[in-house]
Amino acid sequence: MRVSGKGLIDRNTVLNFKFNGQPFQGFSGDTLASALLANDQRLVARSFKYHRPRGIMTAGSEEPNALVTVQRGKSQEPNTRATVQRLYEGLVAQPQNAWPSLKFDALGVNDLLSPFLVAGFYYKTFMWPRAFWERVYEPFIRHAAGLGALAEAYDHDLYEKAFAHCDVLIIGAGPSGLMAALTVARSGLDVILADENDRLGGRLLSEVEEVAGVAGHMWVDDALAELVGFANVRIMTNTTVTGAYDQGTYGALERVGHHLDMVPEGLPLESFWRITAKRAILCSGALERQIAFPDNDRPGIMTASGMRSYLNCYGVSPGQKIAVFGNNSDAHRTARDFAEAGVEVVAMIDSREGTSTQVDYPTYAGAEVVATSGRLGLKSISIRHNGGLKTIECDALGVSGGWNPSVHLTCHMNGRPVWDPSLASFLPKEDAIPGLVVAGAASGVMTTAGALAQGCQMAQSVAKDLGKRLMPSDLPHAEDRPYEIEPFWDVGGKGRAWLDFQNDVTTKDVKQAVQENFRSVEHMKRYTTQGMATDQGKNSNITALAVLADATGRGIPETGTTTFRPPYVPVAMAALGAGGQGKGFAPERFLTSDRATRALRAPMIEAGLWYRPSYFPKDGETHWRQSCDREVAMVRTAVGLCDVSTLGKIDIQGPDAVAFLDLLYTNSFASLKVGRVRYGLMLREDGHVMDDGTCARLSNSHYLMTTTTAAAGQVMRHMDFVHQALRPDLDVSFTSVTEHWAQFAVAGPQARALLNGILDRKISDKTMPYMGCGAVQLGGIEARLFRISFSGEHAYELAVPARYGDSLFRLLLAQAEALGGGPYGIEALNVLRLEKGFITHAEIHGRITAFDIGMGRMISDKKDCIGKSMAARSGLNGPERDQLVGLRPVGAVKKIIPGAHLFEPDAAPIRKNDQGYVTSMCYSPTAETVIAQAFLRDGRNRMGQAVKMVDHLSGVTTLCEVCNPVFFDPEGGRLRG
Amino acid sequence: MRIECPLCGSRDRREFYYSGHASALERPDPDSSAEVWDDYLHNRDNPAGLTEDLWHHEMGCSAWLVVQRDTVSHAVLAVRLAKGDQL
Amino acid sequence: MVELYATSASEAALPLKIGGVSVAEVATSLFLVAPFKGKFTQAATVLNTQMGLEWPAVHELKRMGGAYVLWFDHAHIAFMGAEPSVELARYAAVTDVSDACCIIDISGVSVRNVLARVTPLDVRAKSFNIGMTQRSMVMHMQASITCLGKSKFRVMVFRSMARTLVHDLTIAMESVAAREKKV
Repeated sequence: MRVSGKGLIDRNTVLNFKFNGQPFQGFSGDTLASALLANDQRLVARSFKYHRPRGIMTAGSEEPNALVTVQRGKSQEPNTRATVQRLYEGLVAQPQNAWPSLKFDALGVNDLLSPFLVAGFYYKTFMWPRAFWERVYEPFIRHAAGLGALAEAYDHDLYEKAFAHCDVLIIGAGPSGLMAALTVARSGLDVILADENDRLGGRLLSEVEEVAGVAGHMWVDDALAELVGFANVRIMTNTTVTGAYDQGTYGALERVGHHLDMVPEGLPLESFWRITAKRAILCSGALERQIAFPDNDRPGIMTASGMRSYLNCYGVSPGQKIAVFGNNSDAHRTARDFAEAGVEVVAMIDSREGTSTQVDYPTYAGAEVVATSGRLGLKSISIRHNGGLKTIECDALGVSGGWNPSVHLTCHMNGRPVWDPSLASFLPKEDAIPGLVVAGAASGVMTTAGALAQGCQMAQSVAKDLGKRLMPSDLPHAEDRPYEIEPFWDVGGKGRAWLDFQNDVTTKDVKQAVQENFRSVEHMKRYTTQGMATDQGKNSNITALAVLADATGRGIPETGTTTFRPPYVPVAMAALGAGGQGKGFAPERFLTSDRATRALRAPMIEAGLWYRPSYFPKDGETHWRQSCDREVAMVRTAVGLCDVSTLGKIDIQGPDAVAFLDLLYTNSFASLKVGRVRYGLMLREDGHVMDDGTCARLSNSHYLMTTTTAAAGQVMRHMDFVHQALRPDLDVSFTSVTEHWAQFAVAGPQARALLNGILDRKISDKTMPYMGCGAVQLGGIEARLFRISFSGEHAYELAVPARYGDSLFRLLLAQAEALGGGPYGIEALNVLRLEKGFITHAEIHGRITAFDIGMGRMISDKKDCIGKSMAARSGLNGPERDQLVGLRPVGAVKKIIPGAHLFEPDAAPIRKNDQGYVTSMCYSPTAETVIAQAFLRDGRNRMGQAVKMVDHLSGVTTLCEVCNPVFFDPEGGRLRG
Repeated sequence: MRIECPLCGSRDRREFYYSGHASALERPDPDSSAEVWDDYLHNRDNPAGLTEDLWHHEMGCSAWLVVQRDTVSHAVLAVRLAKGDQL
Repeated sequence: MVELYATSASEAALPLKIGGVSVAEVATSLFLVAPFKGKFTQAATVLNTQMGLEWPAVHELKRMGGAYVLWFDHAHIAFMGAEPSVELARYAAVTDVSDACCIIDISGVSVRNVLARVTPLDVRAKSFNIGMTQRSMVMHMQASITCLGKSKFRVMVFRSMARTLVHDLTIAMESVAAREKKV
């Protein structure tokens, strides 16, 4: 119910919303949780395992119970914590874990079966029979598991990633965070102040104590007004710092569009920030913990501080008869505030002796809550006091087991928190995160005055570290009443007492884990699933390990904690992968001929990041093989045109260029003349082939290397390594010119005729012999011509600056068509190279040596090169190696399948009989048969022999003949023609 | 993680390509024994504490860097250019 | 004689304006220059005599009218809008890469907010000011980013990725514009 005169909400702005199909009203400034409580909706969820009725337990992001699914347009967001969901007009939310309805949940039967569903139940039950694993147990567990449900439709929401940099990151904008921000801001250092709420102020918004003589929220407004005036201060609201990482990097999730019904176009729903900060001040406050007592999970039972937040911040009372149960001085504030607000307080129960105060509501010192009643909402509690039992009617119970400093971020780099017996809490370990200091309640300073002072002090020390000296600033006057606590964890008794509300872990489960010898905190956690739900044990871990410590007879510090890891709050996978949606996943690289190619209806295929044409279909062709076969024949009989710009091109210059090439390539380049091109083979240092390509000598100390498309990046990195790390003395420099040149292969008997139709000066076999290169001109434009061939035909590659690529491709196309030729795609390119016996990275796949591909003699014995020493190792050069061979089918079955393995014709196709494998195949229209390349044990000595190809996946067995991998023009007459 | 590139300053880890221990800088003589080469290529210590490894500032200035860091604390202690000081 | 026409890297995708930020393609020559060993002084002298410019230090941009000379990577500086002299090529490796890049200028008051969504660089004015040039990433792409004005940057990525550059910038610009509209 609403309480008049309380709260920071705007009662003039009414917001309509729906929960569980029912319409409700709230006010601007409400969260979904406060609005539900204002409407007396105490039952909001069912628990995960037992499907117990549950209500709102906290007022913050740590909420374990009130998880709802929020519907926004077509999408729905499960596991939204009602406590952080700002209310907006038209909000629609649904409860989770409840079927068929929230009030009657069929799986509530689990609660009756609870004696069987104890810790370890799944481990013990779903063991046998084995045949049940896949068909019975897994579907059952999958049905029962999981929180909420995804929309199962494409997520149209935008998620954004962004980077921010600052001198000082302040995490949390409560009293210590605001004071720290004000102090650092005055130094001129760049500050980012991040807070997970949309309204800054932290506990100052939830308490009635004054700061600097005014209400806490008014002091916050003044502080914010001052901060906004600083150009060096950036305030990030709705932003939770989720993780602390190396070298001052922090992850932060900004909720940008969650409070909007319709997210405007272009606006992300969430933004995931990587914040880099020289220093950070953690002002994350503290979270209140529960006390375990029987049936402590009924709707209406919540944290005492959460209750106070609803009253002071939202003007809401979660009940009409309020009881409070605590073991510390802070709990009394809740009773006091409700009484002062005119809400009936029926009991203030303190587990400590002698704490009764002069107030006009009943207080019980040295008392404890031993039972509760009310199936769908709290109706009464039973307390033990002075040796007797007493039942008290109440519909809301605030519980405070003390405060846990929010040390989570300090643990993200393996820092272990330190137990403080006087606070009965863990405190952050100093310097656990380099550059991060902690202030306020997060460091165990529990008064407002202390938090303000420490915020200021930490800010001064951080500013001093960064070379700024600050004048001491005046601290506002604030409450300074000490926080007193006597540890009290577990009331005991017969009924089930909850620790982890999300995973339904009770004190019994922890005790049972100990009985079954899961005594270490890490084992107990995994056995009971304590702390493994989306709240990651924020509400329950410390109490659970206190119960564990008690059950094992060890102290809490000896028991230790489990490890807090990022993220601090749940982060959607979409936010972590932000920017990677759709085309953001990877760049797309397009050829200059891309538009002309697509206009010819060529299907494009991805080659790394590049898009290349598969084939160019002609009218009437219905299958890619028809197009491919035609294109192959076209190249063999007339002329074909193919964009080969994707090949890596590296411009190499300098007096030591040739020495550098000799180190990179197995073969020697010293003898290569200007105006000539040579094939080169490159090894890795371990003696295996890295890449192959050509290298042209353009002038005396100027070379142009080409790499395969696949290895262009790797080769560039390798060259950088060889030069910078191994031979920085070489006077050579190089740079990628891949993208500067648009390069086209012109291949076939008519290739020269085609070129002579467009070049400013005609070429001949004399001016441009096989493996020659040189500058040419087209319409006055400087171009480069290389007489090289990847098809076995008389062929050239013509390169122009990329701006002319589109123009040249269209020109070449017209010329080729006039000569009975045309364009060819990657499929035909592959057939042409297989017919000619050329290799690609299908063959040089990383485990192949020069010897294996028959190029052992290309490793020059006159010089050193990368990989030479290791290539000479025994085991890399002999009959035991799988060597490159050609294959063709000779039996009835004509299918050859890349990846299939080879066996002796009579051998069983099993691993120990393995003789090699197929790497590439195609149908060769020239040879009119299927042809293939394969690696076969001692293959070069097995020409003419039969082998059996077996593809175990598709069950195909093909008898093949081993042959020379060069199926076309083995003498090479066509190349030179 | 961030690395202080001697040329570019403090940069996000995603700009760098990692490439193993800095012993790769000490390429053996071509006619060294197989054991020496094996050691150079394959055998690496796995220290808890100080180590030196090679990173390529591939998305930045393209320099190969020798990074001294602590595998326990993750501190980056010193970074130098693999090619030395000569420009 | 045949006649070849030129197309720009971005083709028709630019110019672009979203919210207060504009992107325009820049047509300019681009040469990479790396001095040979022991020839730095001579190369720097030629640059000084030829263009009256100092050799740019790491992260430096030097400009003279429409001619820009900027640090490019561990080995190279870049000439933009100016052609290195033949004499310079005696002391340095000179490579014409004029067609290798898609070069854009992005400007507008919110330009730094847009860049903060595509690059991990620190783009605050105090870290990245006029006359500074850096190498980093734009989304997944290698990029050269230069600050030409208080709210104007020049960005270069490889030419084949021009469409991706426009795509990535568009998303960032739309996001920034939507946030500004929201406020």
